[in-house]
Amino acid sequence: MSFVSLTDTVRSLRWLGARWSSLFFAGASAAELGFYRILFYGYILFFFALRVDISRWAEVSDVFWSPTSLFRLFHLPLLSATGLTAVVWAWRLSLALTLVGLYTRASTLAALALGFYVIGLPQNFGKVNHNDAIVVIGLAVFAFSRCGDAWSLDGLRRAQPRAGGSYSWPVELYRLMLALVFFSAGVAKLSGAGPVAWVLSNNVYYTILAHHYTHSPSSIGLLLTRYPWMCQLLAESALALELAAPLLILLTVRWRTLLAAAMVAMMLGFWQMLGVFFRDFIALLVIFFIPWRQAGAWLAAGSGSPRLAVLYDGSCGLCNRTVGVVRALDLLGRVDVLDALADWPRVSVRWPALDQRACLEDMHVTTDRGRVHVGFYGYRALAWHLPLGWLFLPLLYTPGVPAIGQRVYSFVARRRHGTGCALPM
Amino acid sequence: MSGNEAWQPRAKSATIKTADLDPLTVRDLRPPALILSMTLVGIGLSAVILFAAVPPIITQAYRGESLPMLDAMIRGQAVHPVEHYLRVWRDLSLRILTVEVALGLVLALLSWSPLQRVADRVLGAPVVSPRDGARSRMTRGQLIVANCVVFALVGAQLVNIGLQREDWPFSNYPMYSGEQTDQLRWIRLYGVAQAGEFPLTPERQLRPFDSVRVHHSLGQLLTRADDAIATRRALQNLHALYERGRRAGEHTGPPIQALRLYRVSWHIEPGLTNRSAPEERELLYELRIAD
Repeated sequence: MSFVSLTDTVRSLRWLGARWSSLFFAGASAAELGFYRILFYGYILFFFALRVDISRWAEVSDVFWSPTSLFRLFHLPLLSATGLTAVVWAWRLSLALTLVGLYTRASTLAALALGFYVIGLPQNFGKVNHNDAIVVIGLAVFAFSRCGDAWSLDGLRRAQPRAGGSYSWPVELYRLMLALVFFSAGVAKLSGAGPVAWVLSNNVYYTILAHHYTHSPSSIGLLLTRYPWMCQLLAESALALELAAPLLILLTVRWRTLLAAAMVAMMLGFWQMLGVFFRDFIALLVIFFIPWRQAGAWLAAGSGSPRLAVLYDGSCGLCNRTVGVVRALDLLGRVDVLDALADWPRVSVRWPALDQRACLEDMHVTTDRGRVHVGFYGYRALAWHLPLGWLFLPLLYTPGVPAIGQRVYSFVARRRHGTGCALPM
Repeated sequence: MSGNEAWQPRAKSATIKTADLDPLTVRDLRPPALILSMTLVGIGLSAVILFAAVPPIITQAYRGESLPMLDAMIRGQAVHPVEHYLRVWRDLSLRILTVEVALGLVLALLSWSPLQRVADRVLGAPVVSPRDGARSRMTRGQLIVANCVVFALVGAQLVNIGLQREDWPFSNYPMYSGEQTDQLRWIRLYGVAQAGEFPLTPERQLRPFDSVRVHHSLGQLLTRADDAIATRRALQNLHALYERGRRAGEHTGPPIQALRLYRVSWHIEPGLTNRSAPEERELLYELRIAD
């Protein structure tokens, strides 16, 4: 082997390494990963865990017990009905803790271990359900990530942001795993029936009809079976989409979103034509392939509301924590945060009518048109600009609440330096 | 470098310079010889191990003459001859080799300079640029953990694809991969009440089973060597589930005197006219409740 060839090989492998880094470690903020954590665990908790009941499996005879390879490897037993109910509740608790980001490291690991058991148990009774396995993969990905660094109670409890960390690889990895699921299904069709038999025969035509004998799909599929050529076209499209799935992680955001949308449409088609609803795949495709960042930017640009500036006392620990929360919640990027001490020269030029002493005593929120909101009313103005704040707007405008809110604000503001919340030195 | 020290890929490896891309020379068109050679050597070594070294060990283990750990892996001597295990191993070996060839080709293709240029033009140069500065930088330990998780999950899924096997939660996702013809066979349970025989609806009457699971799980039991005993136990259990649901008011089915397991078959018709009346019903097992 010549030296030149070795050099070329090293260069090629470096290129692969750079592509790998670019794919998984290109950088995303802690807030983005926290946002995905909330969506993912929120979905699992409210649309899966709170509906699941595995206690009935305790009544099923061990003659049906045919453990999957990992259940066999870990010698996981079938618990009693009470034990199964306890496991489900423990799983729900771990999911809820992860959702709010409390003890996130421990709770994500617990959610993985318990979720593996809860979701995996029914798979040991003669049939593997292919819809929810990807949920367990997601729990594994997030368990090894630092998804609790932002948008979490852990993040709020922490005075200083944690050093180090990468926040892009978990989401990119999960997107890849989702893509591989579809790719696997495509490869299975090629190696199972074969492309000719699967696409060019009446396979899909008879599959749709057969499901009317064994399932309860809608009659849309029957309309399609009137035109067998359309069934073949459907087969070709489905196979092409599945084999193209790896492009989901390679394409630009626009094309990737379109491809994911086509896959969601395919899943909805399966539901209508075969009576098989791949709910989790649909939900996870939506969660992980909607371009949230672009959607947020579009929302922010389209809102038409003026930008806000929060002026706070930079020497106050409580105020620093508060603006940290505001920064974390500012998904639309509509809020500037300015220290009334350190940034005063800039502030006084922009808003000459403002008094520095007043700004240090009470939090001031100003619009770029010069309107000023102080104290509670500043928080209320902020609520319009922070998506999470939208939930509280009705309460904040309820008669009586502003008066109480302003008193509470004044009470806390007057005591903030005397209650040990000064800026840590 | 200490464990806490921030680590970032070097700029040299992270960015492809435009100068590296042009012009395309004849040298660039050469196949990645070293990677192809390494792939071929790897496949050759694997073939020797898979086809020459392992089969004698399987034969020894079958006879109980190998290491105790290997002997314990083969327990079906009473059911299968040694040829069965050798055949299973040969099929697995072929799949492993196929996966190796595929991965080697993919790696060689990705290492091919012209393809890398095309990728750079389509996707843009690979750049690692953490958006939020120092907080986004990874320590070496974090990088190792992250890469291990990526390799483990992606690798497990690729193994399942390549070997067409199922290691839940990883899977080859074989649903609908077979060819459906105009014949449909299904395993179905019927109850016998005073008014006569009626098909059971597992989703309501046999919870936590559904009709697909009844079909698959009972179908598996019928392939076992002790199929009669296993099927009897299974039907007794299904009857208990039926009765429990009936007493709890989960369904309004009548008390049943017998459970009948049928293999039903249809000739699929576009108008579905025969949907409620299978053309053939083969009685596989009957459990009389008084038994």
